[in-house]
Amino acid sequence: MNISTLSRRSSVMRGLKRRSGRVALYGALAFWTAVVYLPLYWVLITSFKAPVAVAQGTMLPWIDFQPTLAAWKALFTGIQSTALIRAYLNSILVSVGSALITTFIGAMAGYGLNRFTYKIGPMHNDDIAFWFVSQRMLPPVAVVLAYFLLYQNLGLLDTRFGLGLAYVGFNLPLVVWIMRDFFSQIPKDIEESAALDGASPWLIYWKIALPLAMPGLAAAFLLSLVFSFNEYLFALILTTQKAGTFPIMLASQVTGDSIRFWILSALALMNIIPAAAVMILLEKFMRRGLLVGSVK
Amino acid sequence: MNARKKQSGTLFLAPAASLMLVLSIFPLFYSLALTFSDMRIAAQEVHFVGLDNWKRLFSDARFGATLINTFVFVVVGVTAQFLLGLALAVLLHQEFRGRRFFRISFLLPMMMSPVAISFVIGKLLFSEGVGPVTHLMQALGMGPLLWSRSALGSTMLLIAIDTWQWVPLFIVILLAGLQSIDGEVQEAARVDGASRWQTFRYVTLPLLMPLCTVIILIRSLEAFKIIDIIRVVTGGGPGSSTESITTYAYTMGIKNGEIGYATTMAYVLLIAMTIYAVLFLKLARRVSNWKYSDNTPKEVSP
Repeated sequence: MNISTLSRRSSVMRGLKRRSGRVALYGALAFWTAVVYLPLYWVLITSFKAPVAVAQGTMLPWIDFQPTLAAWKALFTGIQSTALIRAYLNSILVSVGSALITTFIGAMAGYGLNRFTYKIGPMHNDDIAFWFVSQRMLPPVAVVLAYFLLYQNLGLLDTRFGLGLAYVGFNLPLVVWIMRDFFSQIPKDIEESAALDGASPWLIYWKIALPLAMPGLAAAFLLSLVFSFNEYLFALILTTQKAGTFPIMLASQVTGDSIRFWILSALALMNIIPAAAVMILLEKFMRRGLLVGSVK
Repeated sequence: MNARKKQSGTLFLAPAASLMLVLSIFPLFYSLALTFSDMRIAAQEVHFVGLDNWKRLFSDARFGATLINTFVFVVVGVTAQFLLGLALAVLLHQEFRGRRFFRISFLLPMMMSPVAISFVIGKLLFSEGVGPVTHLMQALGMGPLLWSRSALGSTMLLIAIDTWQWVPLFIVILLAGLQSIDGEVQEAARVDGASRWQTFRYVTLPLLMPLCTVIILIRSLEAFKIIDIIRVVTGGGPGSSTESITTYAYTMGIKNGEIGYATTMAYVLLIAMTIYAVLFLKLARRVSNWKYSDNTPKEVSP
């Protein structure tokens, strides 16, 4: 970039080339922006369409169809609204609860793995950290049927507690990994001087390390939250009615021949919007490359 | 002091480690035991059946097909995601106005619920009856869109949805990678007369290679687990042509109640993923060695 700035005026040809480069750049960016937003635009307008407008494939509100709140009203006042609200509540309770517990326990382990030396059998700190991450790589289907049998015996099937517990196991590796990484970037000298003053390790962790790690905690919490909120397989197998989550309800409605697109679009948006909001909150961390290697 | 420090160190790690043992390691070993049993849902008694499940699996043609489907899905999908993600990361690495808007926009799909996305793209946008794509095709005189009766069309749609969602992961990681590479090397190459493309191909890309390897591997291992997109969009159809190992294991385990047999499938998936990871890392090492040895000054000069 610097070199081309130096010789910018030396050649008209280069200027032309740069301009066409700009056009190509913005063209490519515009193309992918369209790829991202077109489906989102379509689901948004469909949720405000009457059934006729859906069938006609109209695309511009107020111009070729009259927007209506019918689908949204049907969601909140229709026959299924109790089931819908329960599923949404389940999703929120299970994902928030499990994300809180996961962050609490995972941050402790991440801190420990960075500040203390462990030796479990032949495994040292790096091996233990890797052992955590490797659990994340396991295909969930390899354990979920075992969960099903165990939960059946323990009476945990179709309970929010049972599902939340499974999500703790599911997200813990991720949180440990993020927090270990995060604590490694926080200087140790304050903690060391506090230790010389006689503060206990636990006090140091609570009063000094944890407040400094707030951004990392927020990122770890939000990621666990979203992954639990979106999770499908565990919820499909471990819940039936009472504790069923929102994705399960959504998925069960889209099969069959007569799909009510307008209502499902509203449902899908309710599932998409919170996660999109979290994405925007997390973008700051991602820009700094903090979450490299920790997102999935 | 030291003993006390050691003790509190254990307290920091113990909760997470013991939870992992209970929630992950134990179910994994329990599953392994199940693969040697005839466990069924609501079974009165369970027998040890030796290798029967494993033998049955090798003669189960439908399982072989799901293995191939899953593999195609992973290889084609992740390759597409990597190439698109790399290209878009390079674009976003340039200086231009509105970078933040484009970056947020491009990352948006990653956090969305796969079930919702599958509905939005697979069922709504590509709906054969009311979708805008089919309307557009008819307007252009190409006739209606019919993917649901074709195995190829259904597979491509599933891959497209997965790609839409996961290109952002490659953008995030590779963009961070590009930003962490020191610009001086590239500038030196440019001063020596290398073109933009040559600089990218022989300087930037080799430096980015280790990160590419890691992220391709991580994403592939995730892609092996596919179930939600399939269940929503194709239901495994037409016939069983888009069934993955996980959807088949779900059908067999929960619908048919044959938990022992379904768990065996899940174990084969685990083994297949391990073999894939080992082979992939071997291949990646060979490719990057070849890249470095290929990287002679002769080729850099214009």
